[in-house]
Order: sequence, then structure tokens, then C-alpha cells
Amino acid sequence: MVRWWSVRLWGAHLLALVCVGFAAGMGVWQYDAWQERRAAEQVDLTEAAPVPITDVLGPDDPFPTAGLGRPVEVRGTFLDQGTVLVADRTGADGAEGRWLVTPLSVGAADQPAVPVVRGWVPADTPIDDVPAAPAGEVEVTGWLQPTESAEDLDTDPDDRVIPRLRVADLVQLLDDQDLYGAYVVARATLPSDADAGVVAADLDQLPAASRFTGLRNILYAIEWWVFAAFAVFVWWRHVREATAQPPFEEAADEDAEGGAVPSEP
Amino acid sequence: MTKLFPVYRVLALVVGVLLLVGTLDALLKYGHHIIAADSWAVGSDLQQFGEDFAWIWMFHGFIYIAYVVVAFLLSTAARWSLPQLALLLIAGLVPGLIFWVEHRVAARLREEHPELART
Repeated sequence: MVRWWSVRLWGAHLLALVCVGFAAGMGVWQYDAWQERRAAEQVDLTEAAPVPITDVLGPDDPFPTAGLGRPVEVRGTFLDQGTVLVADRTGADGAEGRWLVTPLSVGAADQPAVPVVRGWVPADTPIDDVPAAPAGEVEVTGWLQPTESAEDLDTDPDDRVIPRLRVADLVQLLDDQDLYGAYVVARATLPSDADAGVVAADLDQLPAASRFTGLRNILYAIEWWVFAAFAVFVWWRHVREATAQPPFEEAADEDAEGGAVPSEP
Repeated sequence: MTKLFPVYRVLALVVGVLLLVGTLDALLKYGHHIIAADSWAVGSDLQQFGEDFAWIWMFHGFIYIAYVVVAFLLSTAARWSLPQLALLLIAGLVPGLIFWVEHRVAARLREEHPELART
């Protein structure tokens, strides 16, 4: 009688272990490559050549999916109103802080404006101490981001500190000013801000990798895992057959055929 | 068995052809390591074609999965030994081998199962 732990089955166990381990490992390897490729493409998109913001969206347009994290250029004038701090933003080294945001007109000063994250300041910076936005026409290059959703309510609308960068909240603080439904995170701080100790803010929402990026890798990963499962199945069947007590005639049959399935006790 | 056998033959043919095409593709893609020629260098039309066409291996993989399952069912139905099954499976990975194996399988099956002789 062959038991599953019998020495004659050790070879099958070992072979199964090697096959399953190899196939599963290859699957994990392809899966990792898939993730790496997607992460790399996300970063690549943020390093694309900047385009004028008006090429990507208009003042009243809904946010385009392809615009997420896209580098854009805005040429215009900072509004002298509507500078706010956005609460609870982590800095480069994980420090608590806030974003310094001022709307920047797209084109002439009376045109619709887009909120620009000028940079990051420590959490204890009062709104009255933040550097004023430079006057006159400036050109800002930054990453386009969709307006944030309101998860927290602005508990104190008068303190010019808002919990989320939500354009609808920002409009309330402005006098009759049209805003884009998006914001821009400046890639580098403006010289005057940098002098005042403002550091560049991190990109919050990375662009989405294309659905097809690394598709081949994930399909290969699935293939490998299917093979691993198949190897387990064949091993299980083999062991079951080897350990089963076959009916007498069948055992004789298999002997005559010279099958490798051991059936004699 | 009467159904499995034709399915096996078709799958074997498809896997065999995909394997040959895939091998050709690999030659185009990596051939520049063996023979240095301008028309074959990295980024050349031929090499790029090989690069783009490497998708063929993914298709080979999935058809091969179907082949593996059918080969397994067939060898179970025919009560063949595990090494015999192993040969069937390996044949789907070595270019050209599958045509010979398929021929042998057909001959053996017809011998063991006379009812298949006419298929």
C-alpha cells in the first residue's frame, strides 16, 4: 500500500514543489514588472513637455482625464485677493504643513483664474505672514490637478485657511471672479517665495497609467499562475491515483500497459 | 476521446505554428547578438518589427494553456503514463517538436483505438 509519504512518491513531491515554485515565482516576477512599468509611466507623464493650460482645458470645462498631472504653463497675473492656505499638507520630510495658494489669471488680469499652489509652508505659519504673490505678469509651470472633493467642511470661513483645495470654496472668498475647475501645483517656487522660505509642494495626484501599459506583463503573470495551479492539480491527481487501492482487474490492466502509475501494493 | 482527439490535433497545429513564428520573431529581435549587420541592429526596421511582434508569445502562452489541459485530458482518457504526458507538454515548448509528437500521438491513438482510424 502506497501512502502519500512513501519514499516512492518523494520524487513526485519534489518535482511538484520545483515546478510550482518556479511557475509561481515567474508569475510574481512578471507581476512586479507590471507594477514597475505602470509606476514609471506615471512619473514619465509628469515629466512631459509643458503645454499652455488653455490647450488642456477651458475655464468652464470639466476636468479631462488625460490632464491629470500634466505639466502646463500659465501666463498671467496673480489676483490680489483670494490667497489662502490649505490645511494638512505633508512636506517633503513628512512635516505637517500647509499649501500656499493664490489664483492666477489665465492671460489678462480680468480673465478666469486658476488656483496655483505656490508652495508649502510649515503648519504654524499665520496667513498674514505669508509672502505676497509677485505683481505683474508671471509665467508659472506646474502640474494640473482636478479640484479636490469636500470631505471636511470649512469650519471658519473667515480665517482664509481651507481644509481642501476645492474651487467652489475658493470662489466664495473672491469678489466676482471666475475660476477654472482645476488647480496647478507649481513645479518650482517663485523666486520671491523661495526667498521667504516657501518650498515647492509635492504632487498629490499622479496621472493614471494607460490601461495597456504593461498589459503583457500582467497577462504573462496570469499565465504563470495558471501553470502553477495546473502543476498542483497534476501532482494531486498523481498522488491520489498512486495511493488509491485499485480494483484488481484494473491493476492488472495497468501492469500490462506498463504505465508509470504504481498500482501494486 | 472522439472529440478530444480532433481538438488536440487543432491545438497542436496552432501551438506549433505560433511557436515557429515566435522563434522567428525572437531571431529578429535578438539576432543582432549573433550576427552584427546594419539591417539587423537595435532600432532597425527588422529588429523593431521583432520587438513589436513579441506579443505572439503571449498568445502562444494562452493557447498553450488550452493545449496543456486538452493534452492532459487526452492522456488521461488514453490511460497514458506521466512521462508520456510530459512529452506532450514539452512538445509545445520546443520549436518543431510538436509536429512529430502530434504525428506519433495520432498513430498511437489509432492503433489503440481503432474507432479513431478514419478521423
